[in-house]
Amino acid sequence: MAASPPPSPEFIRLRDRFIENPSELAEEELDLLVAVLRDHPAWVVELREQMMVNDLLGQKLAVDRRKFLAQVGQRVGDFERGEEEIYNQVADLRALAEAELERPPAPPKQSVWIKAFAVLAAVLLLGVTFAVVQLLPGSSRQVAVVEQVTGDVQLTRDSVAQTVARGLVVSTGDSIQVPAGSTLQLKYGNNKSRQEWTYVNIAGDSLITIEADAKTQAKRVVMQRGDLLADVAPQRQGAPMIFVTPHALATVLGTQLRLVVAGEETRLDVTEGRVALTRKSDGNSVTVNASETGVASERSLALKQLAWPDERSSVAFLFSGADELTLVRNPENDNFWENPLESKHAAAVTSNHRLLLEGGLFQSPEAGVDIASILRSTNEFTLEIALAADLNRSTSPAIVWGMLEESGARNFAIEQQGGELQLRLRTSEIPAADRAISLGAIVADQPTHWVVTYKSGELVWYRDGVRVGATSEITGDLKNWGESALVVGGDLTGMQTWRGLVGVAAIYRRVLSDSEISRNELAYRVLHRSKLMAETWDNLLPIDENDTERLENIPAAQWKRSAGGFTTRGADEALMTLRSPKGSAVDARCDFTSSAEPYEVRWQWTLHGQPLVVTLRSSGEDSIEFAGASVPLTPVADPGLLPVLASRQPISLQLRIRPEMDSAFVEVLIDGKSRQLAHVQADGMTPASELSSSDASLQIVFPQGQVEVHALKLRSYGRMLAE
Amino acid sequence: MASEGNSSLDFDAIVRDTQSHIRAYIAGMGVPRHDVDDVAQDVYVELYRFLDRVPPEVEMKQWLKGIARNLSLNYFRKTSRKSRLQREALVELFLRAEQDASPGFSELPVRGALDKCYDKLTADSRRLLALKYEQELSSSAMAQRLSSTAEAVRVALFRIRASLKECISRSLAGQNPSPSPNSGSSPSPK
Repeated sequence: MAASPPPSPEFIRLRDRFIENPSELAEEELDLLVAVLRDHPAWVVELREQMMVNDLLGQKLAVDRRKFLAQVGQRVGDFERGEEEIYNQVADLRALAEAELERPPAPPKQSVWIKAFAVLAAVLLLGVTFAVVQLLPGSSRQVAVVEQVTGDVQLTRDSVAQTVARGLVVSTGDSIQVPAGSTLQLKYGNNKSRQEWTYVNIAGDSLITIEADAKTQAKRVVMQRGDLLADVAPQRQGAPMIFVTPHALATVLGTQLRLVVAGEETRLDVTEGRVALTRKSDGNSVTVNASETGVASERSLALKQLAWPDERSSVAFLFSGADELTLVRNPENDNFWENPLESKHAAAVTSNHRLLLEGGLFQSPEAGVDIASILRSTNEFTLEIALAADLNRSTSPAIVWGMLEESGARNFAIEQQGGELQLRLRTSEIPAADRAISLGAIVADQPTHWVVTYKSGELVWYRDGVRVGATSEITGDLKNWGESALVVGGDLTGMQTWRGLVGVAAIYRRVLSDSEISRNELAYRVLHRSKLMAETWDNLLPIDENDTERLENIPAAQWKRSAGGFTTRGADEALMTLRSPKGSAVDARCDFTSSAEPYEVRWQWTLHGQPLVVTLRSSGEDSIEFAGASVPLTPVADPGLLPVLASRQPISLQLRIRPEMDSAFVEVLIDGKSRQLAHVQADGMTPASELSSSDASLQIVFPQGQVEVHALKLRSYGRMLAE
Repeated sequence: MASEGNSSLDFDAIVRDTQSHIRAYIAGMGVPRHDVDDVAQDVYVELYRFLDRVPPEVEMKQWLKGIARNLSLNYFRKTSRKSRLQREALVELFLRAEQDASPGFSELPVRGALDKCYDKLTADSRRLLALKYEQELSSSAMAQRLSSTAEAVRVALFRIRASLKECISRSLAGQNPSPSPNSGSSPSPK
């Protein structure tokens, strides 16, 4: 083959777009591509092989493509069932025809013509009946079951209305009305043997009808109005699930999507996979990919990227990760201005751009002044925050987020009290903001998304996009909101500190609707939640007596459950174990209070086949031994400035081991501040040999008793690498 | 799921051994990635239905490729009303190119070779591929994350795939597999 000249930049662009998605090229672009390729056979070979490697990579890496063998099995099974069904139908009809032929038992003598006519009639009967079975719209068929329901949801079947309860079987032809404030979850049996289910969650103020395709029996949901979120398992070939709205059809083979019919348009948000959105008026289609939104109306069909928050016109304050600008609306000109949050003490921005509160706080006095000014004029608001608490319980109210005055007075504050998230709100009727409203339980290390909306007489709160509570008892306007600072993680004096992570936060100058909140939660989940998840710790203390896996971390003979965690009172050494961290990196933490005086704590592990023992003493005479030899400790601060281990005070003790090319750094932190640092190296550690850990558990040992452990945690390797 | 049609052929084993190559083969005719598996499933259902009709003298891979060619053309007839002629012209070009393909690239254990070559890629390249294939981000979305342009991302992906293709070809031809050293290039910032 002759050497081919280098391709032009235009061709390269066209070629690369074709590889990315061959169906996206317009007709004229395909014309150009064909013309160029015809003249350059070598480029065709290259392009074909690129597409093959492209597909091989998809086979290897894309999660939804790893089940190919099972899918072939399912298809073959479907084929066999289809054959069997046709055989059974034909057999029934054949029997019917034969019965007709056999009657009457003793026919009088008939002419050959009459007999021939009878056979012909029977064959015709067989054919017509079969055709009718195939072509007539199917009778009502059971297709789904009600998995969850809240509120007064009504189902109408054959003009008879009934209240929907959990477990009710839903059939084609059923019409379901979900009033405002109610919710419904339907579960479709997609493939019972494989435990694959399709879930459709219908929000309040929705009206839907359940249907199925007459020929393929594919699932269909017709939505006249409202809002639904669907998690669709892979569907049979040729039978995609279809959502029909007044404006469009969303065709889906297996994905997660949200569909909203509001006024003159249909909006489709896709969180996973892809969905074809077809406008009814002209049949035009767009493919909506993951993290995209398609909007269809009589006049338009458009795509845009999913965004959190969905719209910013009512935003008064916005924190969407520290890699984005923190925005505050200027009440004088209605424009946004940038206002970075200022950190105080143990408060930092993580590698994933989330706010990490470890006893410190973030604040912005200027933001608080502007937000208060805006809300005083609207007298209503929405608060939205995604967070992960560090502890299941807090001994005193800890301020997660709020607008606070120097005097400590609150305009609003979201607080953690014990294992509960609470709201305190100042209104003209409650000037002291002294009433705590419980928003719900909070579980350490689990990211949750919270929204609170308020206007006089209507306080509503949502957890993970679902309305979980409301009260009409809180009334009054916001005219008495004072000049306050916006704070995250504590009060302005550095007290009432809250430990945890904040992913995103926003304040809106109006009450967002159920639908808007659900939409924002979905966008947050798609765009931000994984970043928050990546930062959270894995808690290794047992949650309850049935938590057998975690119970293994604490020898039952040594530890007893207490209000604050687990307590040991013996005079002997007591230990807790953390499973062996993956790889050679460690980020482990133990929060405890020791009543011994003086006392010491030991970390024990095996690194590169050698024992590593880190001993910390309340006297300050710490030591690190590796492979049986003492390792020199590097001072990280003047001795007087080092964080101390104090008896009868809660201590957060953290061990970090970071692998280097041929060695490792060992760092011990007390309450988030570095106390000891050492550099360890073992025989056989070289830049070419990867530092290895053993399967041995990491142990924390308390040589004396009288210790209460509040938390025992490990964190993933990724975060440390990024730091 | 074994067919009763031909006891000498093990349907499950055929699917297991050939599926990766047949899926890539279908993709190599220009079928979009998200539809490749559907067409490939049709190929195997066809095989299942008519397993007893496979002539003993014909190599299974060739038989399957024949079905795949026909079903891919059917696919374009059904889905590409406006650009059907161009799609068919492209398929014709790709089929012609099959004869000029890289030595060894049409062999069956192509997926195993890819796995080996993938392991030898730089961390940067693997990260880029993870964004593209694991997270299924578009080039524009990747570009946003990487502070680059969609075009630069596509070029970077092209280079990585090219190095993988070379490595696979060498591997299947019995040489030492190793992606070329420049395969770790990431898209340059804007």
